[in-house]
Amino acid sequence: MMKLAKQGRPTSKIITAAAAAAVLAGVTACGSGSGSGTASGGATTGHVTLVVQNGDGGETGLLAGYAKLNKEFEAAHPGVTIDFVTKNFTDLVDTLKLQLSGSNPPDVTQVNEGYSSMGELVTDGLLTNLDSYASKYGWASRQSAALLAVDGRFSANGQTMGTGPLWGVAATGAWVGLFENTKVAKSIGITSAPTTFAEFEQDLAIAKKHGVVPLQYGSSDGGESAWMLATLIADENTPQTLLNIVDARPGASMTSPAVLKVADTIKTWADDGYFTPGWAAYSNSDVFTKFTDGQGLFDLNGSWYVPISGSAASDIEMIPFPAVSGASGLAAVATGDVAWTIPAKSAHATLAAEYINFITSQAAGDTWIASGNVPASMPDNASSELAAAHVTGASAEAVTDWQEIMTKGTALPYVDWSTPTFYNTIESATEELAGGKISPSAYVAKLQADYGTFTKTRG
Amino acid sequence: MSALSTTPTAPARVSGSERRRHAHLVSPPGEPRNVGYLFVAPALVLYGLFVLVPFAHTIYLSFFNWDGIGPQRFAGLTNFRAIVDSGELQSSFVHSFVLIFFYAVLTTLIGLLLAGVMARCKIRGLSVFRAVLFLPYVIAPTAIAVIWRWLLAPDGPLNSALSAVGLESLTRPWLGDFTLALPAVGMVGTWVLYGLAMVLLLAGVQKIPADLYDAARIDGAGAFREFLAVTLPGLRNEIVVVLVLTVTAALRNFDVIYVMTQGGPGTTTTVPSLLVYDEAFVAGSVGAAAAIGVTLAALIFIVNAAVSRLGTSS
Amino acid sequence: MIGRWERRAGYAILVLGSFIAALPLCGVVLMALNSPSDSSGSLSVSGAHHFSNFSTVWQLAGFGRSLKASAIIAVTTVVIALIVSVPAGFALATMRFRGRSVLFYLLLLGLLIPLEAMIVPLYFDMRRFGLANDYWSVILPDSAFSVAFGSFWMRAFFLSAPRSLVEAARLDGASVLTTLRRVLLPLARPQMLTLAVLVFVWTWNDFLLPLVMLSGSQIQTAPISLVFFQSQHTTNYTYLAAAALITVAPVVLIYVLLQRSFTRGMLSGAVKG
Repeated sequence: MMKLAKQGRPTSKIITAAAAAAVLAGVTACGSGSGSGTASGGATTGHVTLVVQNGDGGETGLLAGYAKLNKEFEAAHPGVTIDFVTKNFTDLVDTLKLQLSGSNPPDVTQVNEGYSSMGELVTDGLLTNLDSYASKYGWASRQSAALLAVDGRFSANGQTMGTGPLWGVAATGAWVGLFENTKVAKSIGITSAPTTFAEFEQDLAIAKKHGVVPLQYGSSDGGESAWMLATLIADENTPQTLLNIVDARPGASMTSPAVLKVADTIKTWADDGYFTPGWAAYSNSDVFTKFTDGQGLFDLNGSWYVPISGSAASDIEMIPFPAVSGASGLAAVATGDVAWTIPAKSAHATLAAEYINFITSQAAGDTWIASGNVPASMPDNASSELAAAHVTGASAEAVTDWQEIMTKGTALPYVDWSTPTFYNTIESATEELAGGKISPSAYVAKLQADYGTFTKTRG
Repeated sequence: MSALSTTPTAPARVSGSERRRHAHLVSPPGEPRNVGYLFVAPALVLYGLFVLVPFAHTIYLSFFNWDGIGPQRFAGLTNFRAIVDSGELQSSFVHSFVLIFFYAVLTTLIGLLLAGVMARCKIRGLSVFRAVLFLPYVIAPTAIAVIWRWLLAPDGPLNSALSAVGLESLTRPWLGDFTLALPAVGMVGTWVLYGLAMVLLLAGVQKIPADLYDAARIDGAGAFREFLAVTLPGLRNEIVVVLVLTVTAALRNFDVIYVMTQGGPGTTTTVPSLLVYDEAFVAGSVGAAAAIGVTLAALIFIVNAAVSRLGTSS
Repeated sequence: MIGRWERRAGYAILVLGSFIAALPLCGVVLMALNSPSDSSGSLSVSGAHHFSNFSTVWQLAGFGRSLKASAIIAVTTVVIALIVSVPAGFALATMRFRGRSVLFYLLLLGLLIPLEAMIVPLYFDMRRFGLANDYWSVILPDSAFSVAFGSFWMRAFFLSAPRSLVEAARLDGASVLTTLRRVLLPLARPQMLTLAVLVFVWTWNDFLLPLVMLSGSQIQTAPISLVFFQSQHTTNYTYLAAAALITVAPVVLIYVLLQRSFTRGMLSGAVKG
């Protein structure tokens, strides 16, 4: 390369002049987006295109359900065409803020629950308050108050999750439970599913003794770590412990003995070799695939995987994770899927509300069950629907247990919803804990560093 | 034009400043130097508007707290102090430097080897080789990450192959190993980039006059001597370009890490760009992201300036 | 002369390198042809015959539209990058003018700035220019970044181009522009083609910029269609592999087509008497 010897003084004159011109041009250029949204008030006279955006890319079961419901909606609303825009979940979440602050947002969109997504959108005033629609359409009779709250309520300043106006409603739901391979269980002498935590740990030990992977666990994407943490916090203590943490009740802390106990459990299980060999290299879906092909006794995962495919699918059943003490009724991490919202700048707010009402109705619940999903608004005839659609095994359990949790038990939120960055923190810290790089007390300290800082800013 | 053939300018022997002085002597009198401005104006305008202005904007934002939509609150040096205080950020920069070895040094060496071979021997089917070797670079990073996650899985093809030849003791959960994950990511980078290095170096090899090779051979130089005496010096500019590109790739690496390891296991494969992404899109702190980005850019600049210096000093 | 053993060693090295490069890719092809219900990503040669996966993936992810969008963006960017970088590189290499080194280092900065850090400000700047959610909101920044490398790369070429040719042309009375066009550009074919291929590849594979810039529109590019098969909870490896191949195909095609011109450039490149 040529050595650049003393060439003239840096003539920034030309450069600054050019830059100044550019900035001026930029500032004075009138900014009109390439918008084409018709600004009708949502009346169904004339032709209207309703832009519905979702983040269910790749979820064939859900998309099939929406396809059917969209056709029904169009049939019931002549003159309305639905433009159903499907995105990859992460892509949707990442660009939502930028998109909704622009001049041409979709009319209806899914928004992820939690502080970093819905919370910030509420703070910036980008969502429509749905309370009036909720009372108009009677949503309170379809979904429990707790479910509505955890999926869509945020204080008006976006600072507190779970209370305040309603901003979003979910159409389908999912819960975290324990999958068990009954064939494998029988082959090692386990005849019934565990109903208490102690039984569960016994089963883990038996599996280990027989050379079967006791608990399929993959940490590389962080999901299973977060679900395991939440489930254990609730089931090794009480459901209220988890609720206190996510709602940031006074005194809730990740360094409490309740959480430390969970950290010890995770470390013990890892040290005893209960996890998938090489677990740090696998994602939760990698190990679930192994599980559904017949390897391993248990897998802690969510109902989003039903209907299950894989060679061992018919041997697999889904049960709520066994608790230490029988809590009153069933308790599990159970929430709606990604919530449906109406952007504040939506061009067809009224029609959008009708759409949301439609897909969350109990009538739609039949479609959801038939396409193998768990409806958030459970129809009364769920069991007959299941039978009619020939849904059995784990897929049926997913629906019936959800119903029990919602009506008789306690639905719990995800622990990683506590702070915007908690998912990442849990992901890396749990790997270090299970990998023997940090002690349980260092683990909870790391969690608390994130949790404590954030809850303080919430005030 | 016999004047040309008697002065075969071996490009590398004539130093830069000599060449410039020489050019000055032969340019016709009154040649407008300002035509230079005309030639670079389009580049400057395009680049200024769409890179410099936003980057200046970014530097500005690094002194603020901003979630991307709401009000911007002045924060002074808070974001930068956070970088100094955060162990995680510091180790992410260290990881980047480890990756530089794989992405840049190793890659360039392999690229030189391949280009050297192609320059020296009349290889039949050269274009086929070149096409195949360049393929890894062409594939979208997401796909690369998925392919290699599968290859390096604990029960994946690599370990199976090792076991098959009796090297079972060498099998590891590569991407799940706290010590080996980063080198594994590095090797993936080498795999992706060595074809690129080769292509860039080949384009440079084509410039080296064939008579230089003939002269060397007549002198009885073997492959290695020929490489050192003719190929390497002739490729000096291209090597610097390759190094700049690969070092930058190492320091900016985002897509592959994001899909392959997400910074794990633990925090052993975190890199600054991953943290920038987390700050901007997950934590909603555009200012903090900007600060990390600015620091990263400064670091990249320093390293590349050093690399260019290496290129000039000989 | 080159010994037979040397040549064999040369071939061996090339074959080994090609093998290592190609093997994982063969894996992808196998993965793409496997049964879609077996989404685990395991491989079987016998099961690899589901060519219908490609049409399924094409439809599900809307590749028809996204390939077109990617093509528009990539081709335009390449054209702009070439038109702008060649003169700039030439000027930086051969002309003396004030501010030249500052300009060079400024352009170098473009190679080094991480896009993730400036993407949010860039989006808002685009909005202010009235360009957000338009093809230009991707083309212009991509071109600008490409120009940074392009100037750098062409400058490297022009620096090491034989001065003797330029001098001869000047002695014949050619103007700067003519020298560039008639004398140097033909020599620069390999470099320019390399630049074109690189810019095409970078622009085609760019993921984050189109994602953010086009987020308010219905336009999606090919890499965005690729990740369609990585849902929130699962990854369908078969479809993902098929999608990856569809995404990669155009770039490979361009490279193979332009490759022939590389060879021609090589044969005519040297300065001969």
